[in-house]
Amino acid sequence: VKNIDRKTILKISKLANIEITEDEVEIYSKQIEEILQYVNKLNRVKKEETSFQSHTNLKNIFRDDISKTSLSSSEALQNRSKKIKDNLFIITEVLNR
Amino acid sequence: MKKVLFETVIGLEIHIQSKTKSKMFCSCNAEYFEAEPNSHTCPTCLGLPGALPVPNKKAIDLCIKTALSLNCRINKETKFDRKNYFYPDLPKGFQISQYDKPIGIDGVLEVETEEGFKAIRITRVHQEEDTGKSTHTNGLTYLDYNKSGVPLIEIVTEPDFRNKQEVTSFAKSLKQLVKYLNVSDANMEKGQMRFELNISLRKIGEKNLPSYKVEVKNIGSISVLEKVIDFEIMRQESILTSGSIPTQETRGLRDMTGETYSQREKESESDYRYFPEPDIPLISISDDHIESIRKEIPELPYSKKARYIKDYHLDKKIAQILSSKPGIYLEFEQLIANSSTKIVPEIAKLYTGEYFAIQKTNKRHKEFKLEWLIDLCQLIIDGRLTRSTVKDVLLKSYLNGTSPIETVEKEDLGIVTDSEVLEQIINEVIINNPKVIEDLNKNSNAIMFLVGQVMRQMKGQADPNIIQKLIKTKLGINTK
Repeated sequence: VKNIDRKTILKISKLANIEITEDEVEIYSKQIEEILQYVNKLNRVKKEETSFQSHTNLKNIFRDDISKTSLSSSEALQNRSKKIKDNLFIITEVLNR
Repeated sequence: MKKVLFETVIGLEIHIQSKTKSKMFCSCNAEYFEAEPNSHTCPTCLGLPGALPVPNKKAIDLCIKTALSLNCRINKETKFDRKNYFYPDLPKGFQISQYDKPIGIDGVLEVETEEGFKAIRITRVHQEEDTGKSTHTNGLTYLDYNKSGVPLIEIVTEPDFRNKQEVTSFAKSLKQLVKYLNVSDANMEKGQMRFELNISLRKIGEKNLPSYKVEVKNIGSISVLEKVIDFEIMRQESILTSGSIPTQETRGLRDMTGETYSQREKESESDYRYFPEPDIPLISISDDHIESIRKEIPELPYSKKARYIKDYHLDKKIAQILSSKPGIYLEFEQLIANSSTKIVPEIAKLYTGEYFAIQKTNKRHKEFKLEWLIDLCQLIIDGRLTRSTVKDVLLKSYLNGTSPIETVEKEDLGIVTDSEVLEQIINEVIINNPKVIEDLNKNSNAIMFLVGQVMRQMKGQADPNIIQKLIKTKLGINTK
């Protein structure tokens, strides 16, 4: 059974905010389908045998609530676009969420 | 056509900014209000490659404390998850939040309603991070990341509210609670407490949840929350009455009038592609740790109010004022620590009444010892001061820094016990009011007029009961 169709690829592209060409829709449909088939093997594992496991043995890694010096605003803004106003990052308008 | 009656079904999501010095996952200063834009940022909260988030211990503890005081169970094995979506207020491309293992679950908060107390179920209490601030003008979006990564506690309720009053009461109780716990300042003007409303209508008598749900986000005050509820009830009622079903959607807030408008379709939950945050190891919360936090929780406002009413027989309104803030109840409890239970109602009345009023209107004053309020009560109880002169004595005492006893003596404000002075005034009043004396045979209440006259000449410094007795004796009226 095929999991991935053209519509799904276009939706993923939209969610990822990456524009893709018609040719790429074809390429990625095939590739993602293959990946999904592979990962589907996990569904054959019985549920009660699994619990969520971390990839690390570390646990309870915290920091104390101490505030330290941040970057200066000029450092923070180093990679901004050319436009600058009141130390704010400026981008093309995005719709209000 | 018969009018169909509808019932409102409301659930709330509340975001509360935790009172920490630093952000949730980095050491940047969390106090962003009115700070220079982008002056509280670092690679972590700017979402730069290679940055590693490390959770703030204090923030986690504050979230546990909030969950416990909302009677939640604590997930002893908890973790953070990534909520993915693309929007420039989140430079990482995801928000670190909690998905299937929130810190607290299955809680309840009792709120006072017109029909008594009602339990509102709490679905979950979880920890997450705030986003940056974006503003939009003239085709451009401006971004300030000082707010990005500031710790937020999210509280989600079950759809248990049936009207606006219940929502308002809950919002106020929750605000008071987190301030009490010192979890948050919950200052709404600074955006430290925000609401999301889920609202729909069903026919009265219907038990199932409505087939649709309307979500309104980013409500920054309780008064706007009330207006949005009114607006949505009207809007949805008219759609339902016309035979249609309102669209399931997220609606934005047009302005402070509470009017909402349809927003573009948002991602659905599966689109967020939640998955465990690989950069933050799992968190185990021990029973010992839970208990040590539980011990820090003070007696909560509702219990305190109930105890004041039960133990001291205080008036409901006075008990409400006294239990409203730590600053007030701590002072009050210190004040009554060594007094007998009997005089507590008098102290409470004096403290929340005359004392608060004087404190509010007189910013400049000399040192006032709180225990003087007890002396003042004692003067009233001993009959050395009338209720009408109390305020005067308290004010002078407050302004001059002299004890009430000293003030009464110095200013000659006590009850006049010198019967000669009193007798002379009573004689004058009797001579000057022959008509009233005549009336006394027909109308026994006329004597109160005479008492009033004497009280006026005595400037309130006499006991009206004694005056009445003296007048009756003088006129040969039976004083049984």
